[in-house]
Amino acid sequence: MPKAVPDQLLDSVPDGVFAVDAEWHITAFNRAAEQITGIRREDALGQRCCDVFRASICESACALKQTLATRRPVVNKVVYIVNAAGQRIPISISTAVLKDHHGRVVGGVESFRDLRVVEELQRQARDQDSFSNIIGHSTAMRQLFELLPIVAASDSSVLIEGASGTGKELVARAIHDLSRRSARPFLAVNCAALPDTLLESELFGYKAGAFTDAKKDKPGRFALAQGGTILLDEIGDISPALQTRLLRVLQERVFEPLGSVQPVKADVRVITATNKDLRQCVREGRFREDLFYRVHVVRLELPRLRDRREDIPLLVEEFIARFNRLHGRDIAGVSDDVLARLMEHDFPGNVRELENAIEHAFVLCRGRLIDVGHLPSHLRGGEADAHALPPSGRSLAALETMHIRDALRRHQGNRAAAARELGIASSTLFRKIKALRIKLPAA
Amino acid sequence: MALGLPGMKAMTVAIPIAEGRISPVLDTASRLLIVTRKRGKAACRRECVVSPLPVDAMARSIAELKVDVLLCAAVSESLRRSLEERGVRVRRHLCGDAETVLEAFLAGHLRQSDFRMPGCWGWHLDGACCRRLGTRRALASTASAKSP
Repeated sequence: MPKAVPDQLLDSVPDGVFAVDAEWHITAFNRAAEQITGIRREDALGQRCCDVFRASICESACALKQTLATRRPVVNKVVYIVNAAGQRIPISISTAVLKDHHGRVVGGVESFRDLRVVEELQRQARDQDSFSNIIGHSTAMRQLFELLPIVAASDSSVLIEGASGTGKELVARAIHDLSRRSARPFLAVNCAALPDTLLESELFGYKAGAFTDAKKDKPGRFALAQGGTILLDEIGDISPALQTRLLRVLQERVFEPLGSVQPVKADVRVITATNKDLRQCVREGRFREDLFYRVHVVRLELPRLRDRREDIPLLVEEFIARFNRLHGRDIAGVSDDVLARLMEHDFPGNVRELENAIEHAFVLCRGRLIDVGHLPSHLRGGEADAHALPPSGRSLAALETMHIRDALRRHQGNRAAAARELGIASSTLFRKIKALRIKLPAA
Repeated sequence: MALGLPGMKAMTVAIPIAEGRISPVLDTASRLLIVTRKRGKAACRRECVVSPLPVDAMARSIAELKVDVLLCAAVSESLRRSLEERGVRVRRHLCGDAETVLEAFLAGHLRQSDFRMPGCWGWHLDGACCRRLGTRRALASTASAKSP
């Protein structure tokens, strides 16, 4: 690798990187490569790459050879290497050609990522009912848990979409905690909570004299989050002017504090969150399309609580344990009737609403078991909640109605997809819809 | 000890090869060079194609070739153990031109650092000292010699 790329720069990359010359001799070998292969840089430099790398594809399908022959990169090919202890280590590799300043190909470069960490986290995610403080064992949540380590391992911008109270900030924090930036700050900014001018100075900071009350320099959130992660919540609510400034930060990784002409580098991973349909905002001209694609590199959609009802008992248990700790109480749990009410409720406020309901019950409950009377009024009676059924009337038909209605809603009225999810034939579902007089949701 | 000296009984040595060199990983090797020596002279020499096989099946197919010693580069621990259980002695962490390595093995010169894979490959486990440990030990002995 030309010495224009110093070792320090390569060492700052979390993935293993090595470069070879035209004779397949190693010319660069970074610190992560040392850690993954177990071979020191000084031992690796000058050696044939296959003697150092000893990957499963070295002999038959060398990715670098393929790249140098076709001039096309190989991206994220999963192979394994054998380390000194004889362990097969799964890695994903990417390759590219290396050119000199005349544009001539002088070798190739290969980066590789140790997949053991990702695989271990995915295994843990599959086995657990919670992941990085996010609770759930529903299919939707397990899929999310499996995705988080992969998303965290990259440095790409992430857009988290989900209704209010679904835990967007929790997910953003989990991504930060699992990433290489975890030792650096995580800062969350609610873009809808501040007026535009204040938000600008909050994000980018200002220099003394930038405006009347600016007596001294104030660093913005981007400066404070240097090396870490910033969550821009309610991104759909920012003004067009601020969208333009944000676009520059994401594109060029620099920003200027108010009143400054000196650009400041922003080594910050940006995670954005919204409860709006950002694509719709773009269509309506309220959100810049170029910014949308910048923040939309990786998209995570958080399910509503009503779409993962099976997680409600687990969440209730978790909240009770948490409030017992917080308030020094010893509440054992909720009555069957309470659980039935909670299972039948639609939870427009999602997990936050459930948490508030349990906290409310903690205040009123003097015994060891939370009863229906301790719940907030909208959960106590049938009033105001058309979806709720009296607990005594929870017949098989009522439960079937609820499950079918939920499945249809999740699949936007697509009966075939809903039947698949429910594990019944489409014809059975049609019959049940008719027999139970279920209204189909608008597609 | 030089293996394959005149007077020794027949011995079969196998080396996984790719483009004339030892294959980087035995587990994914596609060809084996097999040389049988009798009384210090080459009696038989052939090349075999190895199909991609699971560990046990690969070890079984190599053992069926009546291989006594297998010289290779990297090898997974499971394959090495499976080969050893079937009576194939494995000399691993070797690299370089296959013919040169074979000659060095037969002449008893395999422990030269020229044939070792780069990095510390635990040669001490095979009775020889790896380069890095060797350096450390040399430094330690120098330090102890200097100390009063």
